[in-house]
Amino acid sequence: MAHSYTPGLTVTEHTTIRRRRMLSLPGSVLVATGETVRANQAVARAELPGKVYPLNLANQLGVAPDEIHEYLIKKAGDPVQKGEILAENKPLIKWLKTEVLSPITGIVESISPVTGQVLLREPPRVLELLGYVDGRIVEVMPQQGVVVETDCSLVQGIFGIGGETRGEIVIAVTSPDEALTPRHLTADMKGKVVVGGSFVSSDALARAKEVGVAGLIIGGIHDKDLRALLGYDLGVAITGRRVRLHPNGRKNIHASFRSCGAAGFYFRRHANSCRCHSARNHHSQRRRRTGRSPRGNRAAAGRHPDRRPGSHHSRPVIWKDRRSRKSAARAPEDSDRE
Amino acid sequence: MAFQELAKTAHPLNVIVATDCGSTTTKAILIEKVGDEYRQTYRGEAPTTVEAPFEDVTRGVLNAIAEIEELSGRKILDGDKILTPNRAAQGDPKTGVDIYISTSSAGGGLQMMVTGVVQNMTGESAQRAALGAGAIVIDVLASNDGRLPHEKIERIRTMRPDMILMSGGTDGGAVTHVVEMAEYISAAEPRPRFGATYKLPLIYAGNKDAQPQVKKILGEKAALVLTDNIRPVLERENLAPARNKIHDLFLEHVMQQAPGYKKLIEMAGAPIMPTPAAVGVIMETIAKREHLNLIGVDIGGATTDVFSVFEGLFNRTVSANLGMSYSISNVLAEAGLANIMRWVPFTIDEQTLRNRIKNKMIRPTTIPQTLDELQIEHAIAREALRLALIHHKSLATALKGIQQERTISDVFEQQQSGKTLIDMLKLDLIVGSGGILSHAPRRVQSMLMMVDAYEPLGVTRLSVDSIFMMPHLGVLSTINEKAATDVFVRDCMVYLGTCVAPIGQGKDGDRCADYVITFQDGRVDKGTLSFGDLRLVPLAADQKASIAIQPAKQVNLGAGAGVAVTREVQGGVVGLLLDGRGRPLQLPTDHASRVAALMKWYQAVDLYPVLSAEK
Repeated sequence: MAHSYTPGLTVTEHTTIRRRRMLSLPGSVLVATGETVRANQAVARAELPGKVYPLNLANQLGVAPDEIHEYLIKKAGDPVQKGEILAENKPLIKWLKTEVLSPITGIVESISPVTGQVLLREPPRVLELLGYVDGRIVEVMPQQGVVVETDCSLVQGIFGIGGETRGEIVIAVTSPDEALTPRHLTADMKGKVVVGGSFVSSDALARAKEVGVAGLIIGGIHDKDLRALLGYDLGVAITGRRVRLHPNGRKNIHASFRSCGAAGFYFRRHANSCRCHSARNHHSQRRRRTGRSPRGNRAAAGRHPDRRPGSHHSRPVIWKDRRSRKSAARAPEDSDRE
Repeated sequence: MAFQELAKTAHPLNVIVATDCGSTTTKAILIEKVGDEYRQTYRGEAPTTVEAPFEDVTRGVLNAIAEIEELSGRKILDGDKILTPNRAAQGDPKTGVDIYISTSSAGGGLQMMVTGVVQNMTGESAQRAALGAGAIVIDVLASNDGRLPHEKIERIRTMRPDMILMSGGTDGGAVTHVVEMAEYISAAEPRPRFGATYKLPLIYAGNKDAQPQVKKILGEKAALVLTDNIRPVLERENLAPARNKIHDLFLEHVMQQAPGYKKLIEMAGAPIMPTPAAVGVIMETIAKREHLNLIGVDIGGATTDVFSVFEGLFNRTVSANLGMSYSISNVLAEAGLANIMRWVPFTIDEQTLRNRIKNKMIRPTTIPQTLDELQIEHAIAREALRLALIHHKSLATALKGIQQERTISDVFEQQQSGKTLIDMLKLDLIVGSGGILSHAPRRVQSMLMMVDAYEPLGVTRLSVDSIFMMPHLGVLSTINEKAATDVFVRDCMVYLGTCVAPIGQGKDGDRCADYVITFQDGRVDKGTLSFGDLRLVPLAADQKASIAIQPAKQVNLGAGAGVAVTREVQGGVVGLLLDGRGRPLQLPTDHASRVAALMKWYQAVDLYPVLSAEK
């Protein structure tokens, strides 16, 4: 089995974490420093500009681009309703009349006398940014976002799909070695974050969907089952139609027990053996090599109800290269505290 | 060029630390002046920390430098600061360095969207300008790209580039289409990848007559920079001004927003260069110094960069989705399972292979531990290299859409404009760089990966970057050419040998060519190369030999079918590779024959240790 070194993954019973919650475009922050927030509470809001619909009026009316102003009923900035007349010509014979109707409800954003194009825009969509964890606001960045701090248990996974979710944590298996099967998933797990063991089968995934769990945290999955679940092949990519995740946007979506429905997947190699990635082992390795204590950035998590220290498999970290590779990731000077 | 600024130092450069922040690992090297020459002395490596959970590129840099400290015994770091200059003058030569320099492709590198009016004319020119500046082109929008206006707008909205380059129209030509594209961009309100509050840098390098309209439409919505038209007339490209602006904006805007780069810029004594730009400098220098036609490749974790210099014309492409860690799944998707498995001399079920590949993707620092894992990685690398070269060939072309003068002699051979500049028969040297090539356990593995992927024709020399330091030397060459040249010649470039590959195909065992190799010491090695043979003749790096080849009737070595060729060939750490497998290279289709052929070839060149033991 190949060996890898993945820095910063943590499993810890108690820690204080800070999560930076940032809008993707400037908006307004709804909370103040020191305020207590809930995970599902909006902490910031922005308006995402609506979709744009270009219409080439010059072409549709059969006139030169710099003449379209003579035919316009609406001007730039005017609101329009779907089906409303945007422009019309005035022929001598009435039945030769051409009317250009608005395909959307929105506003007339711009009219170009160079290209003869009119751009219509749908109303903006409100984007709300949620708190992500129950905690307190420790920093506000005006127009951009906030930093939320909370005390919690933390389990970091390496990889997840499906974005953020939240729910009560339920431990479905008796040990990390145990695979999650359909029989582990019961109707009372609806809306909860279910912690499985070493592996999830396609049957168990189907059952989880049927039950309506909020999230699954597991140690391994077959690539083919993941493909079937997503409907496409997951690949970290920068360009092209297969873009699903981006190296930089690739969130180490951390398996955590309170507010994130992501999983610490390890793609399974053999049907009867599966590795569960252990941050704790990496840390002990790192301590041995560097003498420094690891302090990775932690994802949000609530308190683990049934944490058993050292319950993960061991995965030694070996660098194999032409030259010695002794260094390990250094502790970041981030805001997290253990 | 922006990068050719003077370094922020007045003292002599005797100790230099350089890093390359790759998408997977950050590689640091220490260069010291030993006597009159510069030598690379120590190397450190650490995982790149540009992404969550660290989101600060300098952590990885400090870790890599800390490894150099441990290995060399030199004190370089004082907390999070690099000690400069070296304290030799104060009687403490083992403390500090004279300068710290860096390149970067971490966090996806420099990602650009380019626009043109006609896709294969100004669209391609804009693409070449961006690629030439070391950027990854995430999309090319053009008036005739087949997408409807709202699709274009939606595409601009969803992609979050670091920068947009707009081109289109010749100077004095129609402005309508380029203004239309400006309107689409304005309507999409594009946002940069990093930073919510700063304006997206946008370079306009199209028809100069449209500049006032573009300024009016986009002046408020983007950090607009106007520059010379990249295609002032159809017959000429003028890429340099746009490339320089890309470099300037990369440093002024993009780098300031990426996680930790502000600190990295402050730490560095010279401008940070995008990795493809730095490697390009080195490749161009090699080609110019030795008057060679060259293909270079840097295969990384997320991208594969291909460089070529043919007849003095330099081209660079960045294949953004082909790489050995983050992008490894895309290599499988683009090449297909069958193409990857054709290089592996055993069977493996699809599910196991896919799981392995996905594990590598999510844990990009994974290193193979068993022979079969190594063979699979090498198989994937062959396909990544092959696909990246196909991409490069499609863009390294003569200008399209230009008027051609034809004479009566062209009646039977009318060629379209835009023919690729890559001519494998005229190729003199292939240079490989990147982890999988530089760190292959045996150098012959690097050589065969490149031979299998590129299928060189005729006589071609191959070399590899010893421990992956070309990016470092590229940026070093902009501040101290002598230091870069010294290290490049003595420590970086490892000549693998020469490949002799006749063009043509035949039945296994049939005569392909007769050869006579005359060594410098007078020894003569005569033989017959049969189809299906792969033969390795030892020839040390400092040795040359003369090879006279008489190809079979239907076989060509560049001088025509059946025409004898005599060439002087240079040795290398691997030697002289006589490749009788035929060109184009075709592997047997049935499984048993293919495995037998692979085993025969791998044993012939002693490619893998277990196979050697079996032998």
